[in-house]
Amino acid sequence: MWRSGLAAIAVICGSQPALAQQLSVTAPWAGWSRPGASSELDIEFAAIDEPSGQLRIVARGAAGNVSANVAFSRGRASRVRLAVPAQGGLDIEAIIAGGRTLRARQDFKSAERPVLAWVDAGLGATVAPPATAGLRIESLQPADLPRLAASYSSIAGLVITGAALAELDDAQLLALLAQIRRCGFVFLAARVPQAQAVLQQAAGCGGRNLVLAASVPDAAQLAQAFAAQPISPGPAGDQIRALGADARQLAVLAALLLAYGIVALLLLTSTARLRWLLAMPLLASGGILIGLFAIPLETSLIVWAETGGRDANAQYTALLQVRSAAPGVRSVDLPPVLGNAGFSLPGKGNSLRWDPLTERMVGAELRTQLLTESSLQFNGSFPIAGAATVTAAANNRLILRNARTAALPKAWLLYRGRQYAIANVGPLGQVAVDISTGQPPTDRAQRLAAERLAYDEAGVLLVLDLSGMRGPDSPPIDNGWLLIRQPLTRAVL
Amino acid sequence: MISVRFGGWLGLAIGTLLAIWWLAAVQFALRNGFETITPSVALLDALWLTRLLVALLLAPLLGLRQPLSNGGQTILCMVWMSLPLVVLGAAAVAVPWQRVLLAELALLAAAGLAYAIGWALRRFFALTPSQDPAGFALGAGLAALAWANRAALLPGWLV
Repeated sequence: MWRSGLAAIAVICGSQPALAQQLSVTAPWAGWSRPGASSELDIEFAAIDEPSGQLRIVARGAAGNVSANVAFSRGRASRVRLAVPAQGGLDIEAIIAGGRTLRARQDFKSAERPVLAWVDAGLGATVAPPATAGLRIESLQPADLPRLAASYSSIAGLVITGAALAELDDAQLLALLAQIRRCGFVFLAARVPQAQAVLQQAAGCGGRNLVLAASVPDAAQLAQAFAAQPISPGPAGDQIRALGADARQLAVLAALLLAYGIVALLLLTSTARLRWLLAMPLLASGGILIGLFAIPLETSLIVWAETGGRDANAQYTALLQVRSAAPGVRSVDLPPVLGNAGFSLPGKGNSLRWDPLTERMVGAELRTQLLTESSLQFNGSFPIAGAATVTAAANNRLILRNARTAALPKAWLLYRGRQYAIANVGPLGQVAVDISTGQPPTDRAQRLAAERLAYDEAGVLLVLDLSGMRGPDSPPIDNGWLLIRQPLTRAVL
Repeated sequence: MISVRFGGWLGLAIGTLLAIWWLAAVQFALRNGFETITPSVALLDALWLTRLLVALLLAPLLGLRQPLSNGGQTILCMVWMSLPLVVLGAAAVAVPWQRVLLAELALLAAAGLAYAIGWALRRFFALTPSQDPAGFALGAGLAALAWANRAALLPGWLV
């Protein structure tokens, strides 16, 4: 009897390493990340001896969860890529339909200084990265580069040699291009004119964060190039949140409490019967909760984009907000255009849904409760062909030129804290405004735009028509703005 | 005589003041991207503590002056009138309802104990309503004691 018991224990203990070996997980950048960043996991399954079907992968972490459903075939190894929040450690579970679960863990490393990834070709690595004060330079292989653009948020910048660039696969190159488009710091040390031309064309922020050099940089050159990044970060989530409509819950809550106060007042002046005085708060509590829970789920998406006057790309930050007074977990579909953008951490208890086939985030499950707002932030870029330019002219005037072949949508010109409403500028048309006629900003978007501009910068604030971005089941895009920033250096001003 | 209605007015006044503060604080938090849980926890703390202090202050006096049932009803009415605000605060913090119930019962028990002290003084030491200052001083002492130990007394709302 005891022998069979021991044998059973041996079987159970023996099966654990086998299960662990069936699931291997690797992360890009050799596991380096930084707080608030996202990364990706390359998950590889050994042949699974179960009937073909689906398995569910869940990556659980302190900063939120990501889940995906993956099809597998019996006896065949498979591989899947998963975008994940990269903070601390992640417990990865692959749950097979039969209830069997494979487990693995990925821990991310966090540095005290910004991490610059120095990527040189595998065996042909010739130049050691220089030691640079204020930066942590990690020497990596081309295979350590990510295949999803969002994973670039894990590092502060990339130095890549020509030999390493040649070793990247298509997915890695596309992710690198997306990063360059999003104004990420990339130092390309290569003498590859074709590649340089392609990268320069794709570069966002006028290419100011893309450094092209013929040779690998020394410490001083690298530190100088990194420190010279001129790009101010996009507006914070709180600033964008302020652009949205106020939560309806609070107004309803205030109205219901006011109604309760009035009823209580009337009752106290008309009766002293304890039964009534005790029943009324009880009934009011139930009524207020029912009234609040009856407010339908509110979802909204706000997009704020910025670009330089002559840039080919605009950088956007999108904020998805979900509000409901009723406690629970709500499922929201994401607009397809946001699916492969960089994403913020969903927060503990919330989770994102990943589609491994299209390699996009397709939805989110967010917790809701009274007066608590669940939100997700996305960052990305979209191409733009110089929409409008502003130049200074004599007699204290600013000239706004519409560079598009269509009329400008609703727009405001902003300069030194003042706004000038622009009406109907036709295709390739222009309009002049007198600086002395400026008005103070009248709404939140104008105020944010004015805050974002430097003293000698003019801006054109356009209302974006984003109705085409909406997916079939995704929330409506409430508001979208594009701020075109342009420095004015004319002495006339 | 302090009436049941007085208890209701007192409870309503406490609830109104704290509701105004809470709504303003939540609006500020929402506008500025802060957590709304913080003002909601503060609301639950303030509601519980204010009602406890007022109950401890008044209960011995009521015990001295009034028949058992009338005084108890006054305190019950004062505590009970803020119930909608307690329920809303608890929903905003996601406090389990058992914990809310326990906290409210503890509040009533503390008030009942203070009331019983006042009643016992009248019953066994023959203090009369003309000796109100003694009852008031006793209530003030109990309230001061509760205030001094508020950190230990406050229920933990966050799970």
